[in-house]
Amino acid sequence: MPKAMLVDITECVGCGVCSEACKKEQKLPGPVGKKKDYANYTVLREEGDDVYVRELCMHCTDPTCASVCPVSALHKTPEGPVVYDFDLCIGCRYCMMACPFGVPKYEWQKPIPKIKKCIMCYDTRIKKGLPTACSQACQEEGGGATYFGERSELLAEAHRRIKENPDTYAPHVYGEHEVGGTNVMFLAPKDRPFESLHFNTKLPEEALPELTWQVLNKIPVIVPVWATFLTGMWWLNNRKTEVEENEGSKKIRDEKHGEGEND
Amino acid sequence: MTKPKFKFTFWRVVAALILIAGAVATFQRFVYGLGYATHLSDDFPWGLWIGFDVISGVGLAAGGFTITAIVYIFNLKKYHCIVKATVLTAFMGYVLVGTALLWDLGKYYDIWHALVFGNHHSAMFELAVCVASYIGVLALEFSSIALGKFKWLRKPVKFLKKSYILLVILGVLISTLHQSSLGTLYVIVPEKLHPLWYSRLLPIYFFFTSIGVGLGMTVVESYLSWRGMGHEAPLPVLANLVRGMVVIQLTFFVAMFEGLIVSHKLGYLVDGSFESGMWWLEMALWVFIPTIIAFRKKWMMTRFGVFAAGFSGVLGFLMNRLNVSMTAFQWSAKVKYVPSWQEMAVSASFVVVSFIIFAYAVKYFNLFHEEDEESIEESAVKAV
Repeated sequence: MPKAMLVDITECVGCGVCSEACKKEQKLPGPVGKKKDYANYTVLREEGDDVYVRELCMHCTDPTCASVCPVSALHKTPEGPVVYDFDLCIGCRYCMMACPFGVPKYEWQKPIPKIKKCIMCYDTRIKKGLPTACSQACQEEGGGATYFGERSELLAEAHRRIKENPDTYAPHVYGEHEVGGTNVMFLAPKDRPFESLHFNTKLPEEALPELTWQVLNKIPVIVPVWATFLTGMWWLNNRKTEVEENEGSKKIRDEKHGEGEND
Repeated sequence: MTKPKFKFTFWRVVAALILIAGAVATFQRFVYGLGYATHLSDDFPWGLWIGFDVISGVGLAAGGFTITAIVYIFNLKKYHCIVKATVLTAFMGYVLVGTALLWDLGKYYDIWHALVFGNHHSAMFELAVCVASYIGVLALEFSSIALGKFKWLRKPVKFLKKSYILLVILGVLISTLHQSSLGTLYVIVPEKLHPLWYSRLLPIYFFFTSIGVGLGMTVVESYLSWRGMGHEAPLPVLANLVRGMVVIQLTFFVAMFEGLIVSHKLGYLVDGSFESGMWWLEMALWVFIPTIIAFRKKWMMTRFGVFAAGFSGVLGFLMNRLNVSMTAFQWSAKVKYVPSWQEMAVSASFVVVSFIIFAYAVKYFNLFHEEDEESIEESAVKAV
């Protein structure tokens, strides 16, 4: 069963222990930053009125980054996290171009750069059945806004909260359906719905890889048809030359024949 | 053979300066990394090297499949005189695109991974496989045209000439796939590309317009080699290529404009934004100017008129590809991207290198001469 995280924005106090725990767990250099980059997998976005929004990889159910990667350096694990393999990566940055959440970052300052993004503590924690570093820190030291668990259970919990406290929550679970669903989901306060918190609320419910696939899956159909047409055109057009040549020689033969008759 | 004395002309000095700048930029890029040498960032990860060197470069080399299809599949033999030149340009173009890509890839030495660890859901994988195999096809096509002059290669060349039509059909098939897949790259970013350029039909647009620029580039190359070396293809042939290009561009324009109408995007054309300006400029160069010239008989009788129409079409094409890859993407990006001098120097160096190779090839391979025309035609007929 895929693991997931739920961030209840109403409970976040903006303490930032999630970012600190992430830095420690993933051994990222430097102090905690304000923007996601190669050294900051998760940061807090201040939205005013003491509202803070966590930024991190959404771990899509059908990840765009993994679908565009020509060498499958990014892939979705059965446990939920979308992980990265530097040995396969060629550094083309198509994942950065395509990600609808702007998550993958690059080590621009290095001669041989890696793609850097939140991997949901896959190697060090998820594989061992432990919760992510950020969610554990949040629950034990922070405001307790980030929850870790099964996606289906967290989703049910989110809907229960919305139903029981309709005056507290905006009636939407961000990540339930966005681009085919994500493994990181958000609950927003009633008076600050997702649009006002700079979430991209215009994303389609369809997973984006489907857009490319609708093009690529036509290739096996088009190639035989196009090949037959081209070969046919070649046959047709070159036959004309042959016919002309034969007609020419027939004409000569006829003329010769005619000449013979006259004799 | 006596070596002619090397003269310093204006353009040679310019070319040398560009190449020196390119060399410095190359050193910086490979030693200090992409962040040092380019203005790329997390918010704008693909710049000039992808937009110009790769996406435009592959398009500009489309003459290879266009002209061979016209001559061998559609049997329009009067265009045979430009086959050599376009196949060479295509071959050179693709090799340069593949080389230029090394500057942009973070792990350039693992470029072969794209062929071995393929992810068949990725448009980039399709592109990589097609470009790699098309370089192979073009190498064979070019060898059969150019290597006949070496005695010890006669036998393999003869075999290649016999199977030439197979190479041509294969070339058209592969080109269809990768010219379109350049457009497919952008189908997955509906939120990020400016509405004037985003369309789910981008793959079809990209393929169709690559035919047009294939014709346009042939005209431009022919004109340049006449200016430089006095070799060129007959004017009526080039004029017809321009007319073909105009028909393709007009057809594309109607289809694309219908798309704008049905998706209610016409408002973006007159909103006075930077993007709308770029769109109009693109269409003027790509569609309107070539069309106006092509319908003036007087202008089409002159070498310059034909060249101007073809050149305008090529510039318009370039603008389109740069608009899709940079202007349209800039619209949603949080930062302004202007290429660094290093990026421009490297891209310009590749242009200079292609000019030098082309100039030598025109001389060395008699590109616009028709010496062994018959033998190729004969073998094409015999292959039936």
